[in-house]
Amino acid sequence: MPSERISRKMGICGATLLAVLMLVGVLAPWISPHDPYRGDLSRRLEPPSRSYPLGTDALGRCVASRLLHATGTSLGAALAASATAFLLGAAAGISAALAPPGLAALLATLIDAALAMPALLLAVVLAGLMNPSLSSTVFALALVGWPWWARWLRAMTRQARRREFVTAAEALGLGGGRILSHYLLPQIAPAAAVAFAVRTGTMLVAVSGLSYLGLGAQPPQPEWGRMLEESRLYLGRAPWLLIAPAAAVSLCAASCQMIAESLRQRVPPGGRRA
Amino acid sequence: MTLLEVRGVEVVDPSSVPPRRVLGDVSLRVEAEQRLGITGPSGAGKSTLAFALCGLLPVPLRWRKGEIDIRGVRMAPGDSRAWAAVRGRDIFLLFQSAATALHPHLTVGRQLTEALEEVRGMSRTESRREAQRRLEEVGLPSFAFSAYPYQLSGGMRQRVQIALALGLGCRLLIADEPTAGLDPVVRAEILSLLCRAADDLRAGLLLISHDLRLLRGTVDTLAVLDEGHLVEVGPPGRLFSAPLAPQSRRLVEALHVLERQADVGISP
Amino acid sequence: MFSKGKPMSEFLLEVRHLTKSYRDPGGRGRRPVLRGIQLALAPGMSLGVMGPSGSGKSTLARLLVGLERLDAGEILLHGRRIDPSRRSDRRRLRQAVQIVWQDPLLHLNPFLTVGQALAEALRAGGFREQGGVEKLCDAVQLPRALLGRRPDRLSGGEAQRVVLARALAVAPEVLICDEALCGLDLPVQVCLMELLRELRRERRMALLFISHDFLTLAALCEELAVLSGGVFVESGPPRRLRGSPRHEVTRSLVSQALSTAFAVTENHLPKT
Repeated sequence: MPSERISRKMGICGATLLAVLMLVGVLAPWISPHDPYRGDLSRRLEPPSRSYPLGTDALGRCVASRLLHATGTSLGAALAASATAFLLGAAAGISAALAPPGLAALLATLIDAALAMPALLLAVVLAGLMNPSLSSTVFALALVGWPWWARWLRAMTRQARRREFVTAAEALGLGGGRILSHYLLPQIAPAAAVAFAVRTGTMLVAVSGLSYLGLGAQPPQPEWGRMLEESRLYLGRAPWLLIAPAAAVSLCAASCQMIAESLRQRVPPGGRRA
Repeated sequence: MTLLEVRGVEVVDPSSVPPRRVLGDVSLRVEAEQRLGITGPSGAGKSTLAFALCGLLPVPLRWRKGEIDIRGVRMAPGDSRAWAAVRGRDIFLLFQSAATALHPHLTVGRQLTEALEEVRGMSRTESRREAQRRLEEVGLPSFAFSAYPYQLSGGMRQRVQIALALGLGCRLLIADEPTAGLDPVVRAEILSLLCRAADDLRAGLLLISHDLRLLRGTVDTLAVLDEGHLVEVGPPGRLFSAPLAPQSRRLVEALHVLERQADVGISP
Repeated sequence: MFSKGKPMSEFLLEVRHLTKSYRDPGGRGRRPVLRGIQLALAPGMSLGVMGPSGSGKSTLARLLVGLERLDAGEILLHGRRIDPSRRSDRRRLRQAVQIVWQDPLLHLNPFLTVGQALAEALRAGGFREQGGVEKLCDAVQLPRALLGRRPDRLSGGEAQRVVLARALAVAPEVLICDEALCGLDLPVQVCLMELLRELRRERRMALLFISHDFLTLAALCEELAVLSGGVFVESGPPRRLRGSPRHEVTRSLVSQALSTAFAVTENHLPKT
């Protein structure tokens, strides 16, 4: 079917892009044309040229080098925040689904209460309360990201548990760990992969957003959100300062979406069925 | 009058490697007021046949060869408009699970009324009255008209389907395992109701079931389907006493073994 | 624990005054599903429970394998009371009582092969010796070639053999079949019934067969109990229930099963 082929290509495309970006993040020190921290004040705000492929910024630093170095920072921060939120959410959500009724109700209430708070605002407050740094941004985003995962995984686990073959496993006397790992998780995993790709994309935007507000990465560390903020004053004179990091954020978020969309096409809703 | 004539129909599943023949060279006829039973083991292609006869083959199945005439009109495989014109007017498919055949978000009465308006061109009030009358005729309580399908039991939902067939005045009823999942008492009620409806409509009935016991007292011709082929067609009396094909022999013998073990029936 | 391993009662499994109700959906009341149920199973015995849909048959089965909590009454295993809220008691019940449902394909984990499912069940039963999976296959006459398959490539009959083998893996003393043959082809049903009879004979396993079909029950069980509206309305050997049913429900279920059976007249008999 044509749509299937397109979605597969899109998935490969997104995954390749993301892999390349990660590789770039790792290899940045070796492939950058210049030192991202050292500026040449005599060459401020130069447009793209042969020696400075993406121009220079207000301090005369090479934008291309800063962008390459920022890749690892931004992507790493987004992945770390997303993964931590997922793990916290999984612990809370899956226990809320499988715990005895009393404890389950308590956990569910806690999750709902956490979910009722406006996430991004909370992240801003949290990151603001701590020393502004990239790690506090990651921590804040993980802290506001977990309730979503908890509620989602709770619902998925409860649904997975209702399938007849899970009841059959309980009647057989299989242990809780075995049922979780071989009966419930395989049902949830495909959909969770889709959701994780989507959430990582939004996390990336959030990390950049907080850095833009000055709460994340601190100067002179290169980070996409930070670079966007620094470009603000020179928009009219040096638009390349804005375009380069904005394109990087969009590309990265888009590749996450592409992976998610292609996974979604391949996984029928409700997981595999006999 | 010949309601349905099927000649050499072949249905393939092109998605399997190599392409699998789901139905091969199936030919059969249903006359008015005839009750034809089709049985066979699971996976024989019984449901596929039911869907093929209504032009509703599920993807990826393809109708490759053969002809289907409905009341003398040749049906083309891809002509979905012609099939749609026939369904609900000439032929009625009674689904295995009435829960999926009825719209879950509309009341039973509304579904019947709309179908009658659409197909028979009645006015709103006329079709409402007709729907109520038919629901009563199949023995449903009056609350069924304003009930949603989930509020009715499995047997009641099958009654709704039969009421619809009666209201639409279909000439050929195709019932695919109409009593699956019902308990024996309800099963017998639905079966006799279905037969009565076919009689009232002077319609042909094509009853598909894997349950030989159910077909035995109901149909006047019995066909055995095995791996997509009709291996034997004949009156049930003869088929039960002297099955010719080995596949039908296997089915009939299993029934006799069961009856002997249950110490009922006439032990030989 | 002086009585450990030594049966205190001649019965394997006993149920006394069992009562179960569910909360009414929407309403605030409770709807009784089972009331005052009593039954007893001795080793090697086969008891049939017959009842129309909604009579509480499946709830009874779920209670007996510890998947539901009972409201009142008691379940005794080898004469000792089972407390379903205690983990060790639940484990004891599951080692002794196993269940097979209808729709076997729904009851097999789609992510595990037949071999993996059986090996897992053997481990759950505490059996670790080699060759156990193959022995189980042979016990239910399942071709060993199917061990590497996943459920989506099994027929209904094959899948039900796998479910049966999995139940046998924990070496239960009681096997409960909840409409276990329903929906399978008749020749397959007949084969599986023969298998159940054999297992009962060879392993002295007690069989509790739940069904709405009198014919199947009469072919398998020595004793039948009729469940209607959550109470046992009558019981007796199949022959007696057929000859002189005392309750309306018995009469209608039996006559339904027989009406199809007796449709054969003498000249319809197969020439074998």
